[in-house]
Amino acid sequence: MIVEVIGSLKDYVDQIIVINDASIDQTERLACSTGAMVINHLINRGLGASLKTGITLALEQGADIIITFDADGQLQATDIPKLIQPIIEQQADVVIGSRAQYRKSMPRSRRFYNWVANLITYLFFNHWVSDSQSGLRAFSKLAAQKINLATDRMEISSEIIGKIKQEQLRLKEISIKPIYTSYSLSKGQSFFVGIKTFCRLFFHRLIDLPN
Amino acid sequence: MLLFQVIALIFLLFVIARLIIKFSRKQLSIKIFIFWFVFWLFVGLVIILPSTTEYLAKLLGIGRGVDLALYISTIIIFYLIFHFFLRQQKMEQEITKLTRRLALNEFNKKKASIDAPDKK
Repeated sequence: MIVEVIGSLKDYVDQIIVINDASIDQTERLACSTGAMVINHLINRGLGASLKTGITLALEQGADIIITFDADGQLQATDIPKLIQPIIEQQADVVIGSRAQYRKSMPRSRRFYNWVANLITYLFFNHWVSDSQSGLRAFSKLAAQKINLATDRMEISSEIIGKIKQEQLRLKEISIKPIYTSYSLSKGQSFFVGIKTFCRLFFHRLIDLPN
Repeated sequence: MLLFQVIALIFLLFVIARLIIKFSRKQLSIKIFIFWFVFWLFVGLVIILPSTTEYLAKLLGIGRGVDLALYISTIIIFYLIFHFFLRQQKMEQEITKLTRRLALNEFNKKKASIDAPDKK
């Protein structure tokens, strides 16, 4: 899976960073074989921690635009040009690929969770977005430098929305078409993980530890 | 003596025994040992003579000494939960930072050795 995803990205970006969040399968070897930059977390720290590691490295490498992309095959690399267009034209600082228009193709339970997640994001951060949990995001260099992320796990998606508002960055949503396979559906958040994420987000809002 | 008091005292002896064993193995500093020893002795006094708390309770305007003991222990427990919660959060953040730094350092080292292999 990872090899196909990296392969599809190659035509659209200058550099690819793969975060291996302590996977013990073939991820590291396979990702290295594609020529992507592979960075290994020694212990599993979650989605949020991985995104921050990737963004930190991208900034160190002098990136102008940073895109986050899920490795589960749900996203399409062909969406990237239209995703970064608003940043190139300097009309936005952050662009999120929203799956909302293709809501119908989303399994019913996922559609409901997604709506709940959007609502929770709105309640916690007072910022309504049509797809708060999307894995496809583009940050301008400035936005990536300004957004200082603190959470480690799935609650990162909502935290990003909150930080965009806090830093008064311009957010734009563009419509993307997700691909749902049984593999991509096995990833993402189940009901119980969702509850855990909610609790973490709640405590994050309650006690915002200085990072 | 009530059955409850007997059970509580047996438990207390067990805790104090653990405390002494830990101290003799030098797993506790003398300050911490004395603090907990006095604390558990005080608990023992309250178990054997519950009436001793009555005086303090009256002073604070609480009806019974047992109630006072319950209130105080509830406050302490909640405070401890909060304290450990914050500490655990902080620790999680620090582990993440360490993991990130290690990952980045390892990456930069590998990259440096690829960029300039002759320097090795």
